[in-house]
Amino acid sequence: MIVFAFVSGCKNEQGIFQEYDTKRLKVVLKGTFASNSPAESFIDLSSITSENVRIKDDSIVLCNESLIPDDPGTPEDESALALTELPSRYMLDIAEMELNHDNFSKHRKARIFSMVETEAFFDGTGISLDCDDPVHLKAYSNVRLKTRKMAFDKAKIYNVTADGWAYKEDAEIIFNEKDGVKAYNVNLLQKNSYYDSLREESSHINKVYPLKIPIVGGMTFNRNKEEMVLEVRILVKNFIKKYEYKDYDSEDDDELVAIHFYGFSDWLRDVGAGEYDIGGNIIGVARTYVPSSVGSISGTTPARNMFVIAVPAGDPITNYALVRPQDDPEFPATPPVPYTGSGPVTDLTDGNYQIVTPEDHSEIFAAGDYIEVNPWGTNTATKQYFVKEVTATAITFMAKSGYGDSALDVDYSLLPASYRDNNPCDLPKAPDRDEYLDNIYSYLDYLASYEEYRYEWNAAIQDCNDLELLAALDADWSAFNNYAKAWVNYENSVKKIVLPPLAAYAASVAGYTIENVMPGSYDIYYTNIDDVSDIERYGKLFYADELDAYSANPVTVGKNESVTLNIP
Amino acid sequence: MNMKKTAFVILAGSLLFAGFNQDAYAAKTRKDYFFKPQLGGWFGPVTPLGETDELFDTELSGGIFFRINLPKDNFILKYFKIGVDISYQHYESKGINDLHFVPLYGSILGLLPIDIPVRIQLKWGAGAAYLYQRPDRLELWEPVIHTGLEISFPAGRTVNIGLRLDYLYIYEGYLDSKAEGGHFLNIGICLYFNI
Repeated sequence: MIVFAFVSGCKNEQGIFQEYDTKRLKVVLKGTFASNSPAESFIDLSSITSENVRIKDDSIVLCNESLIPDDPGTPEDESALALTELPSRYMLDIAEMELNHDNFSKHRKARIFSMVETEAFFDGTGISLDCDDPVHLKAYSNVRLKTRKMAFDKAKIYNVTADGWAYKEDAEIIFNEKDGVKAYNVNLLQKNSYYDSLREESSHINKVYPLKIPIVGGMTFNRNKEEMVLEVRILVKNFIKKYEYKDYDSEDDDELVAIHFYGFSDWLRDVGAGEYDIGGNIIGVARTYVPSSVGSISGTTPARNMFVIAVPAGDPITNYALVRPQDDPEFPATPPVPYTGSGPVTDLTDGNYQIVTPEDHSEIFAAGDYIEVNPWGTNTATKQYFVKEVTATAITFMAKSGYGDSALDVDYSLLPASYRDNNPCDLPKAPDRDEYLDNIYSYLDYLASYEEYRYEWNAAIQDCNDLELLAALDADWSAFNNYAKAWVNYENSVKKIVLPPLAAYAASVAGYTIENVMPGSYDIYYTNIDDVSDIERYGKLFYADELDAYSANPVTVGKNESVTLNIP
Repeated sequence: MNMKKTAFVILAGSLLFAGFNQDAYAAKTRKDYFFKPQLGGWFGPVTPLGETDELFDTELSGGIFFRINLPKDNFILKYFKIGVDISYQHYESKGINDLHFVPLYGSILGLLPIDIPVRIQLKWGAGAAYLYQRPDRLELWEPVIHTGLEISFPAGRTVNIGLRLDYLYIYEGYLDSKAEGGHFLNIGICLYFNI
C-alpha cells in the first residue's frame, strides 16, 4: 500500500528549501570612523607643500610632493613634483566571509571605492554584501573577511638615472581580472610590523586571508526574530599614509627602484625605517543590531568638530584608545593624567616590589607596561621594569631580588608598552640579504648597512639585557626571555585596540546623533581636542586622555528609545 | 567512502562467483524470479537536481528495500509488485548548508514484459521523508513523490544484481504557495535476494 506523508509542519510556515533562500541577515561594510552618516569629511590635504612635509619614524607621512628616499625634503626631479598625487581610489577584493569558522558567504566581492564624499562606503551609509544566513542560535565572536587584494591607487615607481632619482612609471596591478589598473596591492605587506618576523612560524603567518574582525558584544543569530544587520567597519577614511618600498626590478635588469605607495596609517603599530611589513594597522570592528529594536542617542555639541562615541558599559577606554607615550614628540605638553610621581618602595620578596602612588593610574596602565624607577635600597641604577599589577593606590613591579625597601620617596614614571619606542628590546633590524649581490652597488650598499646595523645592535642589546624581568633573576635569567616577553607585551597591548562600536561625528555646534543603538547600557565618551578634522589629526586616532567620559555614565537606551545627552 | 566502496565491490564479486557455481537455469525461468518476494540493499551516488543543485553537492548514499508480489492468478496484476524503500542521505555544501534526508516510501513496480536478458521495471510511489537541515536547525517530516527505473538480472538462484535510478521530489506546496520543493536523483547498484 502506498504510504502517504502527514506533516507536523504546523510549527513552521516555510518549506525547508525556501529557508535556504531566505536571508534574514544583512552585512553592511563601512570605511569610516563614524558608524552612521553624517560621517567625518575627508580632510583637505592640498595645502601641504614640500616645505612642511612631515616625516616621522622614517616612514613618510602623507605629503603631496615627490620625496626621494635618500634625500628627504629636497626633490631632485622637478618634473616628478607635478606627478605625485594623493590617492583617489581604494580597491577591495573579498573572496568569502566567515563567522568564526562557518562560511556564510561564498560570493566574491571586488569593489573600487572613489574617495569622494558621495561614495556610500565613505559617507557612513555603507555598502551591502551578499550572504547566507548563519547557524540558528550559535554564538559568534568574529567575522573573517578573506581579502584577496587591498589596494590604493597613485603609487609611483622611481629609478636611478644619470641625474639621480627620477620618476619611472606608475605601479600597476591586476584587479578583478582587469590588467593595468594603476594601484599597489598592500595586502601582501599586511604582516604585523616587525613582530611577526620574530616568530618561529613567521613564514606562514597570514593576517589577511582571513582578516579577523571582532564582533563587540558577540552575535547570536535567531531565525525566528526579525532581520538582523551585521555592521563591519574598517578604518580607511583619513587614515592613509605614504610608504616606501625598495626593490630590484627583476623585469628590468635588476635595476634598483623605489616604490612610493599608500597604505594604512601606522598610528597603531609603528612601522620603522626600512621595514616593509606595514600590517596590524587595519583597525576594524563589527557589531550587530536588529533594525526594529534600535534606539538612538543625540544631543547638542559645543563649538568644535568632535566625535561622540558609545562603548558597552564597563569596557575600559584602553580597548579603544592608546595610552599616550610620555615623550610624545608631536604633543610635548603635559598630559592631564600624570604619568610620574613618587612614593616609598616596599620589597614584597621574590623579586616583587610595590611603590605607593599618589594618583590612580589603574584606568590607563595595566600589567605589561613599563615603570622606570630611580634607585632605591641597594639598587644603584635607574632602569625599566615590567609592571605586574596596577591598583588605585599602588603599583607592583618585578626586579631583582634583594634590593630591599626604601622608606624615602622614590621617583617613578610610567611608560605604556603600546608605544613601540618604549620597548627596550626593539633592536635594529638586519639589512635584507639581497639575491642580487652580483650588482656591485647593491652589494656595497648591503655591506655598509650591515656595519651600521652591527654597531647599533650592540648598543641596543644592552638596554634589553638591563630590563629586569624575572623575579628569580640570578638563577633563570636569560636575555632571550626579556626579548620575547617585551615583544609579547607590546603585541598584547596593541592587538586589543578596536574602533568604538558606535561613533558619531559632530561638526561645530551642529549636534550629534548616534543611530541604530541596540537597547543596553553604554559609556559615552567625547573628544576634548580642538578640532578632529584638523590636518594635524590626519592618520591618527585618539589617545586615552583625548577622550573625556560623560558625567552621567552609564547611559541606558531602551527599545526604540531616543535618548538625549548634551555634550558640555 | 573508499573503504565502503571496496567492501561492497568485494561482496558483490564474491556473490557473483558463488552464484555462477549454482545449477544452471533455463532462460524461461529468468522472469520467474520476479514472482518472488525480495529483500535487498543499494549503494551509489545521490545528487540534487535543478534549483536544489545550487544548495548541495553530490554525495554517496545507500538504502534497503523490500518487495512483495500481487496475486499471480490475475493476468494484469501478476506483473506488478509493491515495494517499501528506506535510505539515509546526507547532503553537504562548501558553505554551512547541510541536509539529512531519510525518505521512507512505498512504490508500485511494474515489469516490462519484453523478452530480453535483463529485466526492466518502472516504479512509481510516494511516502514521507524526515529532513533535518542546517543552518536553520529545522526538522520536519514532509511528503515525497517518487518515480524510477530499475534494470536487473539474476546472478544465481537467490541473488539479483541491478542498477536503479530514482527521482525523488519533496513536496512543500501545501505549506506556502511559493515554496519550492527539493529534487533529488538517486543512482545505485543494488543487490537483492529472492526469499
